[in-house]
Parts: sequence; structure tokens; C-alpha cells
Amino acid sequence: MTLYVVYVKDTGHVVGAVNAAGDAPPGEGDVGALVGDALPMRVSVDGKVVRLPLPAERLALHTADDEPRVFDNPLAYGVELAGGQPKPTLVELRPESPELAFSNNSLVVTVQPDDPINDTPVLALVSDGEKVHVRPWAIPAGGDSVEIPVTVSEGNHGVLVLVAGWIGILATEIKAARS
Amino acid sequence: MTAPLRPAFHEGQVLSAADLAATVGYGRDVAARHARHLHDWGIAEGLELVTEARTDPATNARYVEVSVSAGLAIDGTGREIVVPASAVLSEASFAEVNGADQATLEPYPVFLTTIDRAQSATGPVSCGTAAAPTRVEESYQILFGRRGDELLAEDQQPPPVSAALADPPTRWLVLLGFVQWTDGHFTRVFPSARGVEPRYAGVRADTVSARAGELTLRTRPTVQEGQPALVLSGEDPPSLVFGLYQGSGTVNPLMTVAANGNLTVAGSFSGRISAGSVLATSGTATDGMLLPLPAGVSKQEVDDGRVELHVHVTPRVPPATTASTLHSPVEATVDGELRVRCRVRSYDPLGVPEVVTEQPGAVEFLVMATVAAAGG
Repeated sequence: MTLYVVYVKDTGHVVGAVNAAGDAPPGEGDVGALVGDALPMRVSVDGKVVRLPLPAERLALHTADDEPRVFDNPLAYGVELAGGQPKPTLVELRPESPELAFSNNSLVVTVQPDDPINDTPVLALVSDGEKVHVRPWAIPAGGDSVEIPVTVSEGNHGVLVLVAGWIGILATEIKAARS
Repeated sequence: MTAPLRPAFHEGQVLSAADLAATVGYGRDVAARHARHLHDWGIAEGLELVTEARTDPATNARYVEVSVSAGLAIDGTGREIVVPASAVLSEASFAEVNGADQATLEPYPVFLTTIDRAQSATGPVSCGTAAAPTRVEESYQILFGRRGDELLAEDQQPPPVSAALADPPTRWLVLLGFVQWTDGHFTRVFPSARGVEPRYAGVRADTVSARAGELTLRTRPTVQEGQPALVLSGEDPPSLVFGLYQGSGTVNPLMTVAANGNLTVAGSFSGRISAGSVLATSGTATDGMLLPLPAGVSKQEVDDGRVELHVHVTPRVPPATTASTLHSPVEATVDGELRVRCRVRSYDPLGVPEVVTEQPGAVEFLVMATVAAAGG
């Protein structure tokens, strides 16, 4: 069996995994063979399943060393690059979830400050009815939070928030009436 | 047309110059027919266009000096063209042919052809005859063509089977490559242009046999790491191997046909699936992913109905976060495009507060591809 993972190029998060017989990656390494035009991340919001599609152009395919636990929670794993190429071994991401909160016109993402030198890439997808907002963003170097501009209605929203280095969040987030 | 005439001699015969010339000519013609009909004409060795950077002292412009390296070609008449030492291409000769052209970056063809050069007599000379040459240098000439002349070279027709070598030699153009000409200098060489490239000598044979019990075909004159080779081995057991050369000079097998007919491939196998056959793949996939097709099955074959898929999925039970956590699959299926839809509900009756969560899950899958047997 060979493990193929699909990861987000912005942040390195694994968002899907397949292991199958054979050495050749499906579709000769084209991520589209495993996700199509987009990989739909799904989350329950008010009893309905909401789709947060990750466009294929933001994703890449990697043949990784075997890691059976990646099937339990792909978002807990990441792909690290060395010299522009993915390392064979998946890395376990920091388990503390970033804190999320909606303000009036933004989604605030807060983490423990980690990198004083480089910006920390963030990718956020937020559902709002039929619409999905896609926000590639970054936490400034040395900072511990970022306000990602996104205006959504009051109520529950499906969110996918990927902060490079931290476990990914796929959950429901409430925008309160007066936030 | 007569058959080849072999000179014959007898004791006491008075030999004329024609007799001696026929002796030499007979051997030359035998060699030419061999080269013409047992080989394909082209470059046999060397004859590459090599550049060396130069600077024009008057204009300070950068250009290249182009040389043709020493080598050997066989032309379409069966005659050898030997370039004994590297020779610099003449800019003046190029300018005579193409110098009046408007400036262009389009490459011009460079050809090699034969030319005979008489050498003056050496040694004693007969009193009754003029000092005629006693040697002929089978020399070469480098010619520059107009743009597009490389296509004419492809159309050259070889002489009839029994034709002797012409004297003076028939002009046969062997393409060496292409040069770029800018402001009175060569500025670049190209190995090919406009879909035409130099032609290399070949072999015509219905049987190729090896004395050492192993026959190797490779794509370069020398063994080079990473280059492909085909090895037919008569060793015990016999085999046919396709592979790539390793640094050690041995061939790393990628495909092997054994003496019993077994085929072993290092990569995946794809091809037309025979009717009645079943191909399968299995594994694990997370929610949202498209299931891979069995090796050898294309999406096109599935889409147009030539291949039918049978898919079985089973939800994968996630690890319990507590000893009392219960899991229940909400859905575990694939849609029409083979995309996994799997969600798992978790509940801990002893947890405080009691919370039901629903998360994406993973499935174990089995995909079988079948092709209906003909007529049924």
C-alpha cells in the first residue's frame, strides 16, 4: 500500500488521504485525479451538511511515508517542504486549536505566538448560506492574532481555518447578534 | 548494365594504368555497395558543430567561432567522408551564400559533402608523359545552404544497385546542423531546426546475433547512467530486460520477460482490458476524496461504459477518545463520481456535558472493474 495525501499549498495541512495498492500515484501525480475540481470539506451546521470546497489549484498531491493515524484526523498532520520538495514523513501539527471568534466584519484567529521572524500563513473558509468565503491570510511575524476580513450574517457558520503549524479546525462557529 | 568486373591478371601481361585503376576501383565499388545497401547513410562518428565564444574587436559584439569536429560520415552513394581534424567554419563562405539576406534569427543549414583533390606526382616520372597526378585526396567540403535547403537534402536519391562510385564524386549533402548569423558572425548553433535534424548512420539487417550470448540495444554510443537499454540474454535462464543504466554500468530492470513467459514490471501496467477480466484496487480514503481506479482502468473507459465499476465501502471506526465513547456512522457511501461521503457521529453517555459530535470519517474501500465478455 502507498499513502497519498492531498495538502494545502498555503499552509501544508493535510486535508485528504488515500492509500491504495501500486507505486504510481493516481492520475500520474495530478491532484485533480483524487479531488476533482475541488475537495469538499463538510461540516454540520444547524443539522445540515455544509460544503467548504478547497479549490484544486490550492492543493498538491504527495506520496508520503506510511502514517495510518492520518485517516483518523487528516487536519492533525502537515507536509513540510525541504528545498521546495515535500519531505516524505508527515509531521504532527501542534494540537492546541487556534481560537476563533467573529467580530463585526472579521474572523479573529488567535494563536500562541510562535514565529518572531516570519509571517504565519492562514487559510480560512467561511460558509454564509450558499456562499463560501475563501481568505488566504497571514499572522504577522511575532503577532498572536489576525483579523481576517469577512462579513457574514448572524448565526452559525461552517468554518475551516488552517494556521500553518497548528492543527486545522473544521467546525461550526457562531456569529453572535451583537458581535 | 553489366555486372561488376573484377580485374584478372596472367603471367607476362603488360599492365596498363587502366588495369591498375580497375584494381583499385573494384575494391572501392565493393565497399561502396556494402555501405550503400547494408547501412543507412548518415553520420557515423563525431562531426558535431562546436562553438567557442569570441568578441569582435571592432564592435565589441559577442559571437561564436563554429567548428566541425573530426569524424566520419557515409553518404548515400556509399562513399566515406572523413574529416580528419577539427575544422573552423568559414564566415566568408557563409556570407557568399547568405550574406545578402535580411537580418534574421532563423537558422541556416550546414552540410558536409565529398570532393576529390588531385595530388601532384611523386617519385620518378615517365619521359613520354606529362606529370599527371598519382594520388587523389578523398577530401571533404563544408557547404552552407539557404534556409529550407535541409528539406532538399532529405529527398536525395541513392544511385542504382550496381552503380560504381562516380568520378568526380556525386555531390551528396550530409546535414551537420544549423547556424545563426548576426551582423557578419555566427552567433549560435542548433542541432535541429524546422523539424529536421542530422541523420546518423544505420544498419540494415534481418538478423542481429551476439557471440557472447547477450545482445544489448542502447540509445547512446557509450553507457550513460539513466539512459535506457534493452538486453536479450541467453544466459540460464534466458530473459528479455528493459531498464535504465545505473552508475555501475548495469541495467536496472524495469520490465523483464522470463523464459517461462512471465512478465514482471516495476511500474504500473496499463493497456486495453480483455473482455471478462476483473481488475481491483482497495485501500482507505477520507471523506471528500475520489477513489482511485484499479491500475489499467481509465476514467474514459468508465465514462463510455466499456468498464463497469463495483464499489464496496465500509466506515472506518475512529479511535475512542474515552472508554465510553460511542461511534455511529451517519453515512458511508460514494457518489456517482466515486467521491467518498463518510461522516461519523460520536457520543459519550458519561461525558459532562453530554455532547453529540459529527465529524468527517474515512472508509475502507474495494473497487472492482469488470469488462463484460463478448456476446454476453
